[in-house]
Amino acid sequence: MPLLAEGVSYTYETGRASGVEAVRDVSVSVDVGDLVVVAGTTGSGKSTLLRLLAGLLVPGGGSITVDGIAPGAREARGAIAIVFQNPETQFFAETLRSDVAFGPRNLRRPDPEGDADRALAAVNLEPAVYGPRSPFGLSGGEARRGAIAGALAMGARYLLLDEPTAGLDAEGRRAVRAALAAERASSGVVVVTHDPAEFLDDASHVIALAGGGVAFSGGVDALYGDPSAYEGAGLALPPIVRVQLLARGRGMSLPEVTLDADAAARALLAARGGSR
Amino acid sequence: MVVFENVGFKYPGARAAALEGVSVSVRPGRLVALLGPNGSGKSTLARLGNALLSPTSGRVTVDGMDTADDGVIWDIRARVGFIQQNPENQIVGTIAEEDVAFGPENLGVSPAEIRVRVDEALEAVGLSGFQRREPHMLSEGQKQRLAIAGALAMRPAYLIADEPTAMLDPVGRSDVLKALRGLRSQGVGVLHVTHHLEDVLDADRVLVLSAGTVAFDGTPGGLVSDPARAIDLGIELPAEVLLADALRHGGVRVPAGYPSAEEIAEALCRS
Repeated sequence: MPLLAEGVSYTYETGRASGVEAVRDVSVSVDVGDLVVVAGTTGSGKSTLLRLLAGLLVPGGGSITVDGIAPGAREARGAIAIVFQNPETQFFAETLRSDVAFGPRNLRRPDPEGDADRALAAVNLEPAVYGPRSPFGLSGGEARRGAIAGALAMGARYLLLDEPTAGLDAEGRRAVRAALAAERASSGVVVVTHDPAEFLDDASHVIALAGGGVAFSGGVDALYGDPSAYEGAGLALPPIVRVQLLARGRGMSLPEVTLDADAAARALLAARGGSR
Repeated sequence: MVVFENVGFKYPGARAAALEGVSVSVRPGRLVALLGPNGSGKSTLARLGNALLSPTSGRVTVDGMDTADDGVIWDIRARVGFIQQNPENQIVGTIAEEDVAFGPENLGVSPAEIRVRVDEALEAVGLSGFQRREPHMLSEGQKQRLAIAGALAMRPAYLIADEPTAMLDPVGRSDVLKALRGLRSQGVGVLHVTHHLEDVLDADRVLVLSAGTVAFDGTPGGLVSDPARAIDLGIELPAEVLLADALRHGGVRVPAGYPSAEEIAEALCRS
């Protein structure tokens, strides 16, 4: 059973009669193994949707269930982990292991340090090396992954992340993407971002929000088949994808569209040879 | 001119130096870009530029004033504005004009003069008419431009921007870049620290730091035309630039530099 939002709406009270409708009639389904990318520009409602999915806000309309029960219910506790923007600013402990173990310790799990080490391994931070280190001496990418480990250590089945790669360099972003890809073996992952390009190769489903409503919802193939609604939401496909779509439009046969420059070049050169 | 002369810096208790032997200067009206991976020393260099830090070796001077000289530290900070990554951390006012007025008020500038400076600064970053708006109601890009206006109201000769677009969506990012370009054309010397080469393709000079030393010193074009070198330096080139390079090696005549998707597709079909 998935993390399921059906026709969800949410209005922020502003003191005025009408309020501000931040999310309007949004549906999304997340299963273990999924990577759902929620894309949108500033103010599109994506962070509000994330909070609704996490049970931090209660929808004004529609319903949200986690494996069949309400996300705010006691039995649902621990099913969902949320990673806010710049989570590494929330480090407080002397060692990374103790920081990551804070969640499971609070939940009175039998082996919080073991939970921490498994979570660190899941984000490719070797526990024996990184566990004893100060969380404040890590590089940007290491710190971000350490903070994500803090959420994973709670044993959640659904992992929700707000801009997980913002502010990281190329190496740090690659490492975070790899950690999220590995995490899908045991969790459903939702990534909320204004810059979805780097996640398109991995996404199982893409939702583009605009003004609180759904502008596009579908798989990556459907997105590449007709990106007009997505682009209408103020989002742009990566130029490397557009090259391949333009080439297809001109009759070149490309079996798949990829963000990988070498793979794209090979396919384009082969298609070009074939068309002559 | 902001001059870094053979600058080194070591954080107290750190084993390795954060910077070693770095020399660069920022002239009025010029844009110098500072690139490099996380932990390469970019932010440290930025902080040395307006005396938030003082070098442990070498010298940093601003129009001849040494940042190590405590007597001129406030003169230096009045000349060198500083913008950081997260706009939330640098806004103090409850409405936009109050926030922008904070700096000049502290300098004892007259209220009439402050009024002029605030309006000019907001206009320079494209926020005219936002005087009475509450900062928390602004988008992230608008907040960052408000922070830039706050620095501008001090009438700085130089602006150091430490990853000013890192937290912004594409619209906010392009607005902030436009605001920074506007400053350069008005004669402000800008030092722009960033991960994104695309942000600084029109820079007058690009410096790439690696583990605290200068690994590349040249122009943006020098990096774009040599993708292998850029990757070695930890600079991420956009995938389409790498694609263009791979296609060129495969015999496709793709235009040099930063070709658009249309130009690449065109080259593929033509040749």
